[in-house]
Amino acid sequence: MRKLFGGMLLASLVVLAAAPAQAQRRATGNSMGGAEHELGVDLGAAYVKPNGVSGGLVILTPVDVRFGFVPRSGNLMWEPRGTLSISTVGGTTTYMITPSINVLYANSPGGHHRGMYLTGGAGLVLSDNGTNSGTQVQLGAGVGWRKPYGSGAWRYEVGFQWTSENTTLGVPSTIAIGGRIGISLWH
Amino acid sequence: MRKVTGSLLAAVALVALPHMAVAQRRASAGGGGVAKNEIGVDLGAAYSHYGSGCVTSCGSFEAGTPVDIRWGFMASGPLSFEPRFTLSYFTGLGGHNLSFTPDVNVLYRLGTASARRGAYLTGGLGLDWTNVGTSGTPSTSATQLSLNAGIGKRIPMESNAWRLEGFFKYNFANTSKGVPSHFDIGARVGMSFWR
Repeated sequence: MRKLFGGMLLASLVVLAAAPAQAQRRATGNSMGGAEHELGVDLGAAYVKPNGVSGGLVILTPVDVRFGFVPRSGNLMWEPRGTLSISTVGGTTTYMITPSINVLYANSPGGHHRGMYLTGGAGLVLSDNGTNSGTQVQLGAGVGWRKPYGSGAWRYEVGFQWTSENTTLGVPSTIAIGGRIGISLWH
Repeated sequence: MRKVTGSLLAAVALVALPHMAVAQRRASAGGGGVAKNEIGVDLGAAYSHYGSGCVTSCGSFEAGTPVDIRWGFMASGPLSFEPRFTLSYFTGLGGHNLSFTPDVNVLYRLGTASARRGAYLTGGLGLDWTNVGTSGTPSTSATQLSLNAGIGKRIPMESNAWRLEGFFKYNFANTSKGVPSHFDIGARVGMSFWR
């Protein structure tokens, strides 16, 4: 139950953290055009090393769904990311939900549409393997670049991610070092 | 050999169709700032039923996001092509697991619908290719061919659009690899952006 509340609390924080960004955009924005959201999908590659187990390579696409809230001004941008997977077979349900939120800091003249940015984030891995359920915490940081491509942009990011262990699920803590490359589109 | 040839033909079709779409778009597009691609991600849910001798727990329900990456090529005519795919590769502990699911769908706009709004019919061809290997044993590959059909609708939202689609997908058995046939009935809801 404590884990459930912990998960709900962090999920609430993810939602609440995105709300000020939207409020900030509304407060500073005018009626002129300007992108409000950055949606993107990526291909990711990383070296993943579970604690006490030999590491390996992971390549994956789509990595997740990222939906950024673009501020009209300021260097900071909030970007929720997430995946969802639920399966029910023969009365047994398994799931994995990975909500997370990243902050992107862009100090380049291109703002949040081109150039370099720094990012850091926190998230949860809520999972049920059909026998046990549990929650893991994820922390990550990285550096990225946006390169304009038509009305969109290619986005490259390299970084580091740590995921906590969960003894109930029998999952060790892991570190991942890698990158993601994808496309961003605005509206 | 027939299966290999069939798989090769399907793969060639998957690669060639988007290029045909690009050629069609280039031929028909004006010089203006016309969008070239429709890119989107969806949340999907489907009921699956396994055949090929399945006797227990033959049905399953799955939901998830992102379903895949869909990258459509805009066309001035009612037909447009939309490749979709996923890729996952894991290696470690002396083994590996690779899954690649390329697919190409044709979208046909209905009535007065445009490329950015309105209803459409879709049908497509896809592959589910897997390669699994464990330490000390040769890796094994299996390919499963699938056909799908559906009906969908784009609902404009500012400069982008919501996209709703109901679909039926049949996955053919690969008996030599022990892969059973199954069908999926489901829906996907997502957002489309244009560039």
